[in-house]
This record gives sequence, structure tokens and C-alpha cells, in this order.
Amino acid sequence: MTRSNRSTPTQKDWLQKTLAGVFAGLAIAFVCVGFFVWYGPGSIESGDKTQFAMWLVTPFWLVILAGVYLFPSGRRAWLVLGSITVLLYCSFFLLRSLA
Amino acid sequence: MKVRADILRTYQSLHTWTGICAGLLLFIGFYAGSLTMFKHQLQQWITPTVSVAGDHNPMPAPLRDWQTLLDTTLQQQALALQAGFTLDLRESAPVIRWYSQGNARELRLDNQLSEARLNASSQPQQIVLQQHTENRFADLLDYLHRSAGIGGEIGHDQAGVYVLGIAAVLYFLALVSGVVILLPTLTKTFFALRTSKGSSRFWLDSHNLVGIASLPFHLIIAWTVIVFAFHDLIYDGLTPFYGDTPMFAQGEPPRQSYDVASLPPLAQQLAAAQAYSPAHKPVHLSYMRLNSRSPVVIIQMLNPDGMVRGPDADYLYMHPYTLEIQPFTFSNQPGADYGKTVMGLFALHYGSYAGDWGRWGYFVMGLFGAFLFYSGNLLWLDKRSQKQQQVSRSTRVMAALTVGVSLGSMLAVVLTLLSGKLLGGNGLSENLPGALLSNLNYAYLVSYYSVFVVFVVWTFWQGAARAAYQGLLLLTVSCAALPFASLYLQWRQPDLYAFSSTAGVDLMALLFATIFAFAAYKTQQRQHKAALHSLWSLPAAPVHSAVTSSLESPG
Repeated sequence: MTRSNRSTPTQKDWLQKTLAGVFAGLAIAFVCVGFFVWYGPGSIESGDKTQFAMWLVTPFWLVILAGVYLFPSGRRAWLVLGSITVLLYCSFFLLRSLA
Repeated sequence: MKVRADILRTYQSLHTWTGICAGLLLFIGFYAGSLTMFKHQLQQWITPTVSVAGDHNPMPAPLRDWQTLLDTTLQQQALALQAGFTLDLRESAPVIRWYSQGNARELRLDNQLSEARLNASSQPQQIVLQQHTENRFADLLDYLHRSAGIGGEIGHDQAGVYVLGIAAVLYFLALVSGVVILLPTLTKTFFALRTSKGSSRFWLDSHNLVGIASLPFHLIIAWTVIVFAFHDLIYDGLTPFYGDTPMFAQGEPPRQSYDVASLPPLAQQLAAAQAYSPAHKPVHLSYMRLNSRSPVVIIQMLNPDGMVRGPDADYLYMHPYTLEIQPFTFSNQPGADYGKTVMGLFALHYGSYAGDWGRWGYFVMGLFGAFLFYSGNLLWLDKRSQKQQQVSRSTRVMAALTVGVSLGSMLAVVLTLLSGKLLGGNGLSENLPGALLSNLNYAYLVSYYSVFVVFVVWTFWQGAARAAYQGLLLLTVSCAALPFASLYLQWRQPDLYAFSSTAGVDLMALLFATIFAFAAYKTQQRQHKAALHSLWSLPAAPVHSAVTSSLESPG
């Protein structure tokens, strides 16, 4: 459909962008929900909250995945999402070890 | 709203390719999902119940008859009842059912169901035992909905469910990108349904209108399907974040085991359920593990005026001996907001929050969803063949797949309904040797897959254009035949009272016959008007040879 000469920066490396969205996006979704289960409203001991948290992973992930194509390149997508991942995981486990 | 051109183009490609990859799977998932809204009615239609001894009383039997049956059966069949049994209090003659082979959880086609009824003429009370193969038409329809008919298992999950889970991810991307590419023109053309600018424009307008109008429904469906498919994996992924904290609190393991002979009276159990939620009506009891340390009775509670969180009912989990309400029971009490939200999401998928109106609404929206995928594929095919100024091989293959899979799957379900009803109703299933005909469940499977495969192959051989017309005609004829099958059986066996109780299915079949006939007519018209380089110009060349098409003249 789209010839290579017409493709624009956003369209290049769709595969890299997709992979970044799938993997880094999923990692970010999980850690966001991790923050929620410890610091969100309600006790972590409640099984209901665990179920809700499980439901919450998917929308976080899907939003990142749908937005990843806005990055100008696959490299940039990996760079940004990757550093957000590292940052969030470091702060999560740091906070948990201090608690 | 202005969107940068390169972003538009990116999301245009995203929309195209996610749609092409997932569309056909989702088509089956959606139209079959619509049918599951009325799967009990369809099951009743395909296996009409023979009324017992001229009993036409539709009123449920009084509770004391149920208690008498239960007491008698417990005396005579206590061993068989230990593993569990079910009571459906809506039935007019009390009956206790249990599995003498198989169980309710797995989709097994050779389950043997035992039934105990009271023998009205004997004193003291005697029971009559019957055993038969459980008919699982409703479950097979459900399976088609959840797996698009893809067989096989991964671990203890059905492989097709995972495949549809992945398709649902693509579906979400298609929804988002579809909205993005519509943004610049949305306010101008949302309600425009242009019929004068050619059929392509009309298809595009209706595709957009349906997509935007039912967007919330589709977002919910995409979300819930992914969670239904992958919940175990997501729980596994969350485990590290919990550290040593258990994800689900575990209570004290029970020490005492129970005996089925000491089961409290039904009236007492039902009163306990009623006390938990006075708005609900307990209608179906399913006992499990009655001689173990963790016995449970799952009570289906109807509430026609409110939301229920299962496909048909709310589920109340009760300890059958102590009458304590167990975890996982629905909650109407204040608080427990997380649990209620989760339960609500289930109801949003099942369409079970507004009684029969909700079910009809979901039936229609599911069909519109199927239309969205079918029209999306056709739009892409048209655009592609216009752009390339010829109908390329890949376009032809995709067109054949679109027509073959969509129409083939629907045709397979309709013909299975037809043949299943005639096979079962003629009593063929009782006498013929061989697993295929002695067990209707296998006959359903063979019928569905053979019709489906034959029609897909036929489509590739005949080309999409010709097969689309023929398939729609076949659908018209077979849908119109369904009411005649009902009439025929009624004539053969006047003691079947089920004809009148499922007349709704027959009426809907006639309605769909009309719709398919109209679609067939429009398809034929389009083929006559089609341009030379269109996919729809007749006679379309079969996929295997592009040469013949140039020799024959259109129309």
C-alpha cells in the first residue's frame, strides 16, 4: 500500500516500535499496577484489589502500545520507554526495600 | 481536528494491517457471540423436550415435591450424589441430575447425564432413573464464540482462546487507529451516509458510523477478551510485585468433613440464599464435593430488574451444611468497590446488566461488530484493486478468505442447526451405530467443520464474487428452512410441546432469511454494475487461474 518513497519518519521501523510497545510497554504497565497495589487506595491484603489490579494491567499496556507509533523512530521508542521502565522499576524496588 | 499527515498515514497502515490480520477471527467471534445471547433458546430449539406424560403445566413444581425427590434419591442413590448434583427449580417436574461420566467443567462431548425423577404411581415413593448423553449444543456454540472454531489445547486452556486474545489486542489497535484517521473529518461526515457516490463510499460511511457509534462497546469487548484469555499469565506477571505478601488471603483449612445424608432441607438453604439478597430469586442449585471438607453449593440467582454478573444469573456460593456464604459470591453490600467493579466488567462483556433488553441490545451490537469487520475487509480489497488497476493474486486470496470464512462459518452454523434438529428429532440418534450418529454432539462438530471447509474451498475455486452471491442464497434458503424443520417435527411427533416455546427462533430465522436474500440481491446488482478491474466483476476468475477471466466477458 505505502510505497517506500512515500513513507515518512513515523512510518519507518514499525516492527521496532511494535516490539518496544509490546515489551517495554508491558513492563511499564506491570510496574504501574505494582505501585497501585502497594500505594493505591485499599489494602493489599484484599483479594478483590488483586483481581482489580489484574484487570488494570491490560488498559495501561494497550494505551502505551497504541501510542508507540507516535515516536519518530524505533530507536527513540526503545530509548524513551526503556528508560522509563528502568526508572520505574528502580524506584519501585527501592521504595519496597525501604518500607 | 487537525492531525499531522505523517501520523495519519501511520495510523492508516496500522488500521489496515491489524484489521486484515484479526478481522476474520473477530467476525466469527462476534456473530457467534450474538448467537450465544440466546444459546439456551437455540439448544431448546435443536433438541425439543418431549413433554412428560402429557404434562403441559409450565408452572415450576412445588418445593415439597423437590424435597421428596431429594430425600428418596438420597436414600437410594447416596453414593452417586456424593460427587455433586444439580437441581433446576424452574422445571415443572422435579428432576435431579448428575454426571455418571464426565463433569460440567470441561467441554467433553461424551458426558453421561443421569436423571432421577419421582415415580408418581408407586407407594412408597420410588424413583425412575434415566441415563443419556448430555447435549452440548449451547456449549459448542459458546466454544465457537470463544475460539473462532480453532481447536487444540495449550496446557489446560483452549488454544483458540489465546488466538482470539491476541486478535483482541490487534482489534484494540484497529479501534484506536480507526478513530485517529477519522478525527480530521469526524464532525463533518459522522452522520453522512452517502448513497449517491457509489457503493464504496456507502460502505465506508456505514463502516465509520457503526464503528464510532458503538466504540464504547468495542473498547470494553477488546479489554475483557484480552483479560479472559490471559488472566493466568497476568497474575503470574504480577506475582513479583507482591513479594512475600499473598495475592489472595487463604482462610483456615477446614478440618471437618461432611456427609451427604445430613444435608439440611432445601427450604432452609433457599431461605439462607434469599436472606443474603432479597431482590434475587434462587432458581438453580449445583452441589459439589458433598462428602469432602470443602463442600459447596453454587446457587444461580435471577434478578430480571437488575444487573447480574454471569451470563444469565448471579452466583451465590454457599456451604451447603453450615449455610455460610462463601467468597466469590456477588456483593450488594456497601463497600467492596474493587470486587464490584470487576464483577461489573464481566457483566459488561456478557450483556447481562439489563435483562432481556440488554441481551437483545448485545445481540444487535454483536452483529454490527461482525459487519464492521466484514465491511472493513471489503473496503480494503476495493481500494487495493482500484489502486493497482487490476485484481492481484493477493487481493483475490484475501477476498476469497473474507467471503469464504465469514459466509462459510454462518452457513455451517445454520446447516448444523437444521441437520441437528432433524437427526435428533427423527430418533436417528438412538438406533444408528457408530459414535458419529449415536452422539449428536459429534454430529454437530462434523456438520459444522465439513460445511465450513467445503464452502471455503468452494470460494477459492469459484472466486469471491460468485461465491458471495451463492453463499448468501444458500444462507437465505437454509435460514428459511429452519421453521419448516420445526413444523415437520411437530407433524411427526405431536407430543413435542417445544415448537411453540421456541417459535421466536423460527421467526428470527425468517427475518434473517429476508436479510440474506436482500444482501444476495444487492450483491448481484453490484456485480452487474462493477467495473472491469473490480473484484466484483462477473464472472470473477478463480484464484488458480487469472487467464480465464480475461477471456470471458463481464455480466
